[in-house]
Amino acid sequence: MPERANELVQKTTASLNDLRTPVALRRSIEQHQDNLLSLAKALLVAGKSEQEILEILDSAFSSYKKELTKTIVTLGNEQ
Amino acid sequence: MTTHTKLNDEAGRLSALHRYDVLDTPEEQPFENVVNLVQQTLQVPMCAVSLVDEHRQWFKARRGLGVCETGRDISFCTHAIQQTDPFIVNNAEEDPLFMNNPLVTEDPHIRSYLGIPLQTPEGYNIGSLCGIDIKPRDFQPHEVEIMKSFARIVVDELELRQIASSDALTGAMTRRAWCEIAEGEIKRAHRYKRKLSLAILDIDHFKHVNDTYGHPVGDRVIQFLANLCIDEKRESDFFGRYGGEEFVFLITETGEEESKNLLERIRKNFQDSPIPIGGGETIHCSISAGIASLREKEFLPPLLERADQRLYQAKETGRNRVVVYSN
Repeated sequence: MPERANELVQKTTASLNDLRTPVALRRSIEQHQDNLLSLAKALLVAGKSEQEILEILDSAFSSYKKELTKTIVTLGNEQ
Repeated sequence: MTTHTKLNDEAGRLSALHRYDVLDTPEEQPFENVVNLVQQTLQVPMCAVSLVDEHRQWFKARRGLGVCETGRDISFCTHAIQQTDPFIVNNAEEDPLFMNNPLVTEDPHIRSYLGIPLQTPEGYNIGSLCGIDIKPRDFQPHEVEIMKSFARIVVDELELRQIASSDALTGAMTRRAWCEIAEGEIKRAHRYKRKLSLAILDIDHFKHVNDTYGHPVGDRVIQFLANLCIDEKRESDFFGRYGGEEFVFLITETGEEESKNLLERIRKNFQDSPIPIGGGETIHCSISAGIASLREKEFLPPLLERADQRLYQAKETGRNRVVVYSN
């Protein structure tokens, strides 16, 4: 089950690989991925289907990614 | 990462909450998303991202709740933030703590509640993510786990915004973020008639340091001072990089004398500390500072102006000193 949860999170957050993230944000990203992983595990235990879990993860991650992109731009402007 | 929850430091908790600068702000998608997901996964008629300040709980996002805030005295979330574990009420009508609560006896007729503290990385519970039902309910362990994950995702969002507010070199707040916080804290000081002081500090002869040793050493000197200030500041103070080698300190609940003591401590520590510049070498530097305490009906620009006048005076009268604008 942890492997399945991990796969689902990797699938959801794959687009992070396209971003050039400053060092200052790496810890936040790792933390968020850990939290998505806990969520995926709990949803699997709750008996949700893979499709449902992917939709929930995607919704939780999309707003974080939006904010992350904004933050990368802000940090870039301040440097 | 294990963080010790700070349950008995209300002043620190409130400062942590105000640092996020999120109270009384408009609806925002990330938090709307979370309450949508909570409602969808837990099948609860009501849920909220609730932030608890001095007197009230204010909902950053809510579903099924008709009001945007309630007093702390009737708030379930006030109980949730007083513990580390999830706060669960299975049947409010049978719970002596809540059976006479107007949120139970009247609209919205709460019967069951699951609240997860929104804990900051420093260990302060600034509010809670809660799911509420109008019928008694035994929340299942997996439901609690789902809520815990969503609560951490809420904090992820808040923290991410904080990173954009930090100066990359020093870890101090950026000028923009500091000014926003300072304006809010000044309003708060006026509202509750609290003391507040502002200090501006500047590294003496900094151009000479840069010209003599180069900019990387200049950066080390700036970092050294910032670390010293961050170590000295209380949780409730706000420290920002105003530009170049100039820093600002907002010292809450504090008048002229105590602020001067704080700045004198920083000045002396900085003056006495050898700053490593590589190759086993060290240099010594000093700072000058100006302080002004908040006057009645005063706002940020004139307060900054008065502190800056005293900084100028400190520079003009020999540097390496702290000068206070006496009210």
